[in-house]
Amino acid sequence: MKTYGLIVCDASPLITLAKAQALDALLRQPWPIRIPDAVYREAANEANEEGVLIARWVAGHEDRVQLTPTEAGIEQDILLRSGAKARNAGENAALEVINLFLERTPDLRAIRLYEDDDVRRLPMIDRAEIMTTSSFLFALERADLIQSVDHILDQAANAGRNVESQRGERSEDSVRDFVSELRRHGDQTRA
Amino acid sequence: MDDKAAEALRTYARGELTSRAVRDETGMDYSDILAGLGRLGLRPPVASFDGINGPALRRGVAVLLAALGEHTP
Repeated sequence: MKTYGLIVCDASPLITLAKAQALDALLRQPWPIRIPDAVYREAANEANEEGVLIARWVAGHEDRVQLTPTEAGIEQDILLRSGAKARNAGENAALEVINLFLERTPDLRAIRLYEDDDVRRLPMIDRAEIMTTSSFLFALERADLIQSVDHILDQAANAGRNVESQRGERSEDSVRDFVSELRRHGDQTRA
Repeated sequence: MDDKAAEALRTYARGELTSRAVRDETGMDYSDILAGLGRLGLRPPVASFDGINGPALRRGVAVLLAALGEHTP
């Protein structure tokens, strides 16, 4: 089996999972997790409840989760300390980490984790697949490692509200169908 | 939440606007966006596998499912 590293490329997946109290879902895959420093700084904002959760979660899983320093992160730190905005710091830091990871480990591949709305504008990178929060969760659901993607997304957007208006949309159906098809194929192969 | 923010969130939930654009338009950070979706009874959008990065997304899920198949009891 090819070996991968999971690189969290923006703060949003961490925030979504923290809001849903589901950060541990990230640990239900077998690969090491890397979080670029600038992404971590955006996600672990201690002014927010989920920021505190993210900071505690990272600190509690140092064996699986590694914070990776970057030049973009250093620049972000300097700008923030001087009261300026650091635009695109997370994005630039993620790119640095992906490139460094692929350069230093030529036998490994990367999985880039983004929030779903980000994937349309992403550049293709050789040896680096793409995962979104929802596609990651759909795979875990299919493998019976989480109970329900719907539940987690609902929790992230304040659980218990009426989300019927979005259920059954084409995107979700397309992802579910694909994941089911893939799993069926895998089951038949193993049988 | 004002009407402009609510409309931006509805457009975001339909997958027609990025969270970055919502942030630029309304000043909400991602945490506020999630909370706003909840207040409107919406949820974060799910990326389609039919888009420009669909093949890469499919590969990502396939790789993860294969790895999970080998690592789960």
